[in-house]
Amino acid sequence: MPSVLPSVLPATSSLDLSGPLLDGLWQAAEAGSVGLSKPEWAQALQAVGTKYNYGLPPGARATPAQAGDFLHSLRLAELALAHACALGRDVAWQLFLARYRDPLTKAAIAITGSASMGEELADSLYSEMFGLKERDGERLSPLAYYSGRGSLAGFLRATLAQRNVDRHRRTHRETPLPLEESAAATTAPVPSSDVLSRLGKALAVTLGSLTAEERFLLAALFLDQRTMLQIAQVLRVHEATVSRRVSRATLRIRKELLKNLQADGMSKAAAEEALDTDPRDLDINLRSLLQASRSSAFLEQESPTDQT
Amino acid sequence: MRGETHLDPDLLSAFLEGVLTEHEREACLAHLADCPRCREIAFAAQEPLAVPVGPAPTVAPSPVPWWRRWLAPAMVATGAAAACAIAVAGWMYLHRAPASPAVDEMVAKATPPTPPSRQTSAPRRAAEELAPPYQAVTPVKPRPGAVAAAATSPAPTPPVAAAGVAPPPPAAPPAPARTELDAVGALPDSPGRFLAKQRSAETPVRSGQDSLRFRVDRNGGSGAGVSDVAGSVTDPSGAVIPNANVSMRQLAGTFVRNVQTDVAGNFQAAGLPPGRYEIQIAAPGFQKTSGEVDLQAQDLAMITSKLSIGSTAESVEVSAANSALTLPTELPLNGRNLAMVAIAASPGTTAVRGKLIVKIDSGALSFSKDAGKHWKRVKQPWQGKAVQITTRGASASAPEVFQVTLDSGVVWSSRDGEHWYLDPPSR
Repeated sequence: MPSVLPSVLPATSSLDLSGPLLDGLWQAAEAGSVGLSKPEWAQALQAVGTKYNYGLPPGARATPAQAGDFLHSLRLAELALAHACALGRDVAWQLFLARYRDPLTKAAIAITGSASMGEELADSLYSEMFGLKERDGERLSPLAYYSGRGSLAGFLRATLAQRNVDRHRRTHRETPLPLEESAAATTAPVPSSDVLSRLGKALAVTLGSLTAEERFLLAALFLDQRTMLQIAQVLRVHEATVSRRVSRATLRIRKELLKNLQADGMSKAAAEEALDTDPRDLDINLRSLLQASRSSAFLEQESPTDQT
Repeated sequence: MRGETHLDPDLLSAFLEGVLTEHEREACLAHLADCPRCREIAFAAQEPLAVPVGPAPTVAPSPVPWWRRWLAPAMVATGAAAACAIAVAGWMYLHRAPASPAVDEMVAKATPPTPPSRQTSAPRRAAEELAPPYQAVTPVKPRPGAVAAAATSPAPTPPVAAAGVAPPPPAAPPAPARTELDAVGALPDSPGRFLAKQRSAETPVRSGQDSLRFRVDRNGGSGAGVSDVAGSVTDPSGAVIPNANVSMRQLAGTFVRNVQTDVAGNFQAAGLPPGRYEIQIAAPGFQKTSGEVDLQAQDLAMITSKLSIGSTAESVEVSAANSALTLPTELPLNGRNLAMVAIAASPGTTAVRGKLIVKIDSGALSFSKDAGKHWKRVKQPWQGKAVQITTRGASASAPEVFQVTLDSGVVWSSRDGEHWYLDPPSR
């Protein structure tokens, strides 16, 4: 995965960070204690603000007050530490190792499920974070991409997870599950090809009308075989909430399917009968329908490290 | 994977920690829904990372709106204050002044919708707690135009009043020269009217047996040449008995008057010709009692009756003036024994609707959905004893329901005999 990692960020910005705002942020972050200069600190803050447009929707312009609020909401001390580490400041790196070395190793072991693989993963990440890799003479460090919005620990964990997943995907090819031979043929008659075709179309339309969260829920639950508890942890809601949302989504899908089938010219009775179709008779790829590529991703992020 | 776009770890960790704005979160969800790789990373990154030991990095707190700073403490304070107020009100209610035992005191207070004093505090209090907006013992509501000197507002008496403590009437206090008798002189007949009348002379003419006591007030009657009878019927515990039959039969003549006690256990009959009367009082589940009294013109006979508990097998004497004994239309005869038939035929203690039977047993309700084969105790949402169970006929707009009348006079209804709801009082 190509990486783009500017170590020195352009100083120009639509918002000039200086004066009391910068001083306040500087003091809150204790940026001087980790070896950062004020201009470097200002650059880091401006990069974060530009990256996320100060928390505003794309196209909106932030006022100085909005920018100040956004920057104050960041984890400033961790941001300063991460940025100083990315720039290779020894004092920052010492502090980083003291705080995050052991927890990071333990997290890597937990993610990989193996002590040896976990330590290897953690060491690999440490070397990357210290900027041992260089490209075109510039130090490459994943820590430069830390924005301070979430915790540094969470960022490190997500980075570990990303590397582990990518490594696993490279080394284990995904093979389609073998088609199960039906032991006994169903007694229900197979719908006609016309009905199946209409059902497939209605399904595509219906799944396309789902909200992002609904599609995520269904994909995680049915495609990834995740448990509701796991999904609840990702969405930061109660497990019962996930259950309710899944129920609502499946009910909505059924209603929409009925509506779409009837809009396509089927009678209500025929539509309901069509919904009882054995999914194995459907010649559609539900996985691709549910995970249809959306072109309107709001952020196109490249992985900060080369995954070769 | 080259050329594909994915969520970087910074954005993903921010999403997992819930710090993104709504539009950012939606965009992340949209990508996660489409990208199995990022989903896998998101789930893999879920286990918490141990917090490093050491000085926590200072994080500039986001400014909290002033109203949020005060919202939580204000809500806690409000909740605590409300809880204290409820506790104090409940304590005061439980420790209110006891009901006055004497009728005279009630008359002196001169409030027409005043419940009798013979009701014990326990069932009344229980009934009051049961339905605070309603009168636990519904005194006779003053009819339009009803004005006692200390007449209250047309609203029902609050529970505190039902305890025997008359509520402060919103109307002006009576002029000293007027008596309650004058004030209620224009009232149509109502038991409260008699209870509000001032005693001029109390002459115990004949006390009768313990279950039936008389007190005749000469010149206390309503009209010239006729006499009046009024009183109340209670059970041994002092709880009122509504719908008790009171029969007044002139011994030397043919005059007969039959009345029933109201939900407050009171009854009254006005305009009786003078003469010697046999007063009989009967109620389902209680032993009948009777006594004799001489009534002269303008007499007011005040009768207090305390019925003893009778068995369900006892017959109930009902005069012709009253509604005839109403048997259930469908008796569960198939496979039933005579005892069950007798119970089913006992009006007031059993009600039948098809296979559904509800019966009163020692003040508690039981129901059967299979014509008496199996019985279940009703989980009573009320306090107090059930004294009568009936069915209310179906209409175009309302299905047939069971109705149980409690000793406090409150009526509860049920469609299935198992689940009961409070009947709103008739206004």
